[in-house]
Amino acid sequence: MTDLLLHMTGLWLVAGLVSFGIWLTEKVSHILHFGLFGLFIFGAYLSHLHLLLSVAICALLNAIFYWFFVSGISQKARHKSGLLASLGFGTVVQGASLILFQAQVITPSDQFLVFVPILLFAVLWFAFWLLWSKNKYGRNLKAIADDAAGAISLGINAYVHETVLWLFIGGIVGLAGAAFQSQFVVSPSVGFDLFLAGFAAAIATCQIAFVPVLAFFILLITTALSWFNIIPVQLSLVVPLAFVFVTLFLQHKKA
Amino acid sequence: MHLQAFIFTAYTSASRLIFVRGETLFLCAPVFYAIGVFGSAHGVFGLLFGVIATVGLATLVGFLWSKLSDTAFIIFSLGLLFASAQVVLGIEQITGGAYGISSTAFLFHQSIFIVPAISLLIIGISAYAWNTQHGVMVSAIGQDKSLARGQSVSPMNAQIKWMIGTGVLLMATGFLWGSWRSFADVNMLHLDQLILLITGVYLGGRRLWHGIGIAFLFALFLQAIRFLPFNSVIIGGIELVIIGFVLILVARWHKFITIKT
Repeated sequence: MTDLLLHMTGLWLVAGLVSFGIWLTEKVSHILHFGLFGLFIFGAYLSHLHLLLSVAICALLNAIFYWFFVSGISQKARHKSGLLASLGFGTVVQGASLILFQAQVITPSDQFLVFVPILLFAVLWFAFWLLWSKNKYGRNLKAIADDAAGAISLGINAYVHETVLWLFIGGIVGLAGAAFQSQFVVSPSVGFDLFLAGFAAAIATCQIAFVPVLAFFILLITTALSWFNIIPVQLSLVVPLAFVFVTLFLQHKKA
Repeated sequence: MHLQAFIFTAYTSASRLIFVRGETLFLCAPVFYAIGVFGSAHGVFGLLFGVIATVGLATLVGFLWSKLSDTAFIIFSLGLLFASAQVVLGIEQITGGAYGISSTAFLFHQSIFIVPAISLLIIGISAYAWNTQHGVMVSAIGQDKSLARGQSVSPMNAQIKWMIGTGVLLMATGFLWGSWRSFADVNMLHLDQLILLITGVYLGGRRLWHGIGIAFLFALFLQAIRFLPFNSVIIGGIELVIIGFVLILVARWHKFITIKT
């Protein structure tokens, strides 16, 4: 029972963190950041060396992607080209993890270490929530999200604000990798199912507080269906996909 | 192994009909390709089934292409790709892995001329379709649906027909691959392969023959990498880094991806 609880906690943390990252990137920078899947695996490998190394390097890589690609593209043009570039970014990072770590299979380090990323995430999320809803930084980010050109003309430095955001998102995805590594076997091919559960949660809600909660429910349904052999484990990805399709359909009807 | 470059070029040429001519990210292109690959295990019946399944699926996808917003269609097509991969994995799990292809009805690998000939045929049909009036109309619809409506053209009909044609070409390319290699697995539906396809499609820009030529050279370049003196894991990593980096550069500097008139 303890094992199951730890596993569920680990899964929820991963999906919650990833969905949080996708949601924020989409809301503020208007990019569906698929590159986070590569960053997540890279973070899992790095956390085998040290948790903070994973957070720091993932944050830096994500910020480098922002500096190199996103900052030079206008807000309107970001949707399509941003999706493509983020897929490219994820592929580069995935390739780098293959070269650096030689497709090693890393066994879980210590199951109870999952609580360290949870604690760190709780602190970071609370800090970010304060910034997002109670502080000038959050108001500025919302202004940038609504109209970047307008925000810049009002004297808001969009470049610095977004850099901080992208550092933060990279950091939390590094944490997600660490949480995953503490619970599950890491290999280059794992993690996309979890990423998709996070993605489903991110696009299925518009409220920041609901993102991790929804991620939890999607995972719960997926795990329960596989657990009771209602669907084969390999088909478990269909559940988050169903969320995506239903959300898109509802959004389309609404529009 | 250079024959693989011909098939890749045919694959990108057919995909360009939607990606570039249709002005959208058609991320489920590998699904149509996979129908052909798996169909090749069953010879003529497989081909017949492939055509029927392709037409049915293409009608549905074409309908959604005309109805959904651009972003919604992109996410839908990506979802369809992943769902298909999961269904194939699920079938393999249920059948205990017995679904893999071990032999095909048409053994194309027995002649080195068949693969280039059929690939060139697919490239030729794609090039012809590109310049037809229907192709120009689909491009205009992709850029501005309301403009097409003003010209009393039904965007839905045009896009569904275009999707069916492209789907059949993609399925034929997959059938060619399956018949040549006598082998298929779920890898073709993976994200890596999709990213390889997107890079090959967009690398050549908007011009038809640039796109075809550069896709061919890119495929040859990727095959040349395999002769580097490293183990297969590192070579796989180098390939991914190159493909991903090229895709970032293409997305950053190719204006046609980012701008819709």
